[in-house]
Amino acid sequence: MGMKWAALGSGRVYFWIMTVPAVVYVVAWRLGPAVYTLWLGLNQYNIVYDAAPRWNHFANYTLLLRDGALRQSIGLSGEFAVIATAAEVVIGLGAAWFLDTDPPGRNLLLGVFLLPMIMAPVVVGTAWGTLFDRTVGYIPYALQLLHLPQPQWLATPGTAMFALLIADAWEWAPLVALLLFAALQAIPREHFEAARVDGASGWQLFRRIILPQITGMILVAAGLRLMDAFLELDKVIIMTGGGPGSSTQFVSMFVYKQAFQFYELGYASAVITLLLAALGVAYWLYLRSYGRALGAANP
Amino acid sequence: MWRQPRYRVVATALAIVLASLLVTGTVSQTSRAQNMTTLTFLGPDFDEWVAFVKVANEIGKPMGIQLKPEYLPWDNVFQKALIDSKSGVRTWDYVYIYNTWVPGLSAAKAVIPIDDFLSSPGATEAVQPKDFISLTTQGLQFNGKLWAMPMLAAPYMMGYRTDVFADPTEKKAFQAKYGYALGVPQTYKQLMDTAQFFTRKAGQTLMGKPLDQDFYGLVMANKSGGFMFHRFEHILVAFGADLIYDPKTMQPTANSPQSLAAVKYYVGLHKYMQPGTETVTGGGAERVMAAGRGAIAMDALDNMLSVLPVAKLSKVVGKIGYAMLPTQVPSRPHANVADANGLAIYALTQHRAEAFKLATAVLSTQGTKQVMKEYPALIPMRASVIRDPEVRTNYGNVFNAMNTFLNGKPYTAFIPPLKEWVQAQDLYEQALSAAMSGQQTPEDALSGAQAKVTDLFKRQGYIK
Repeated sequence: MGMKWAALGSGRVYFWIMTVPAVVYVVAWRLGPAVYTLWLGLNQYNIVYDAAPRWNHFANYTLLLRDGALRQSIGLSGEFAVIATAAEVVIGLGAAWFLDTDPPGRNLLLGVFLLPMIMAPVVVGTAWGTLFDRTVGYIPYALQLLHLPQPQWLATPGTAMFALLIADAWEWAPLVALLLFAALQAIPREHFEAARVDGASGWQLFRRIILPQITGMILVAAGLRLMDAFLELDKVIIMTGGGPGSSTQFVSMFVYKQAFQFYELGYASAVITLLLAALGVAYWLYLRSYGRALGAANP
Repeated sequence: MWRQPRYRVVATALAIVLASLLVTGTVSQTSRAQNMTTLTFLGPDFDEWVAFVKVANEIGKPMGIQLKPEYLPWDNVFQKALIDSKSGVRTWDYVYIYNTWVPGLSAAKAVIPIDDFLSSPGATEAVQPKDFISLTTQGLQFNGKLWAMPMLAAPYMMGYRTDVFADPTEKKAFQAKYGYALGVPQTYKQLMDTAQFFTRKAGQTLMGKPLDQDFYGLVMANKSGGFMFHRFEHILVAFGADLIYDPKTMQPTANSPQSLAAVKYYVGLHKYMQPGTETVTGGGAERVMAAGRGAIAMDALDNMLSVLPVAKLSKVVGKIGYAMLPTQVPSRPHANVADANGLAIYALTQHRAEAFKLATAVLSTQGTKQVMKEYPALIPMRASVIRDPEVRTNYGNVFNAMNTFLNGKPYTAFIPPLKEWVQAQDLYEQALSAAMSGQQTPEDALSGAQAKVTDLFKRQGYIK
């Protein structure tokens, strides 16, 4: 029930006192930089060598349309995001299902399983970078002991991408598991009992009872992870630096290089603006399909 | 309630206290309690700079100066110095500088040239510029000025296993396979042959004994972010190529025939390097060599000297010889790109005089010798230090290796005076990495680099 402005009376002062910090925060720390980025995207500005930004007649946007490296980066980010999300949903669902069976020490297991998620991404990158390291890493060492082939994990395009996917799945599958575990816990147990009485198999139980009731949460988890993985940066910087060559130069790494290695803030801002617009559209489509999926699951 | 005087008094007092704290906190770093001036140093987390800071504090104490370091990964120092200087950050007094960063940092006015301090005879006397070995310090010069106090030269050389090269079994086998005598490679063809010859799997024999681990023909650091290019650039120059562009015409030459030949050679040589070379820095590579798992290392001399002769780190103490890099094009014998590390004075320092005074004292002849006691692998850039009898006696490895280098009269190239050099180098390195990993053919990779460098030069207005 809304409160009318006039009804606040002398409380209006307190209303402003309470509201202003939040408004200042949003404007100064969120809206301000976003507007500045939009404006910078319309200017030539090398932070080191240009005295000040100067209007460059949409040259940054013309450049990004014909920038092959940017297109490649977007493609790689998309590939990484889709595969990582799929892997995390599958692993997360399996883990959630296992935890839902109430195994002994479930709370402890859950706590341990969630640990990677609360680590700083830089720590995750460093840990996995070391594990894959050909000189000191445990993974090549284990493969050597087992007399298995020893790929150059971070030195060939395919394996470098695979290593990043493993690290990302390790870090974020627990989040998916946590969300899906909550959704599984919310399913009334009577549904399972009734289905079992009717002779439903495990697969039928999953297909007919569980999946329809957790579809919404799967979409939430997948949507969150897809957008986050698309913008992956920390682990890339630590583990591969975007290489070998440009094989793991995802779009965030591309922007990072433009901004902080080439100091082309104008061009980097234009790319960020483009990404923001693209992700905005993707998010809108996601919300629409999420609504439809929920509608279908709960007619 | 704000109209009541006592609240106003309290608020005003609070504001004054806060403002005073802000002003005193940013303006001066002089500690009143100890009456010491605190200088700050932004540098890499390398042993030689840790030694420098230690000695600077010892020498600075009687002067009333102390030095506080902020160590970052090597490749981040350049970025931070540039961005901080452009953002008006006044925190730093000294910034570590590498020769390839000199054009960028000087063009951005992030550091003050040392020449600007040499207005008095006393200052010139303190710096002793004529004492610097020009072959090593030239890399720290740009537009006719010296931009940093030279601290450490890092000539690239080969470190080779003397025992392995002298072994009769190996000599015989090499002669039989390649038709000439085994020796320290004098040409890049010989380097390729030798690296191939010594690359062995566990179970094969070396010097007549079975190996329990793989053995590598060549040990190198090829981590992206500069390490790879800094090793490759010597081969690039040796093959007769420009360093990415022709400074006379400003035309990029990344895909010139010489450049392509050098990349193809390096891709071939990569097969005989230790696995994981793409992820290690010089220190990491030398650990592999120190473990007795390589025949030849190609690296900065100080990197090798800081690990290979150190008993607690190395299994090959007393078994390493140092030699000039090989030759490819006869007109460029033992081609080498000058590599120098220095101490620059940050443009926004608030302690210009103190910073200059301490820098000259620590990097004087006596100060350098003191740093060498802390870091025996230091390759000094002062002739007086190299000639010093104490250095000859106590640092025989350094003296002999530097003697070999200076007497070998190598063809020495210098990083061109391009303020966008780091960007151009990054573009080339990415292409080299793509070729080495098989992501692209050398031809495609270099064509891509050529297009990108051309685009960079066009944007900067160097070419049309």
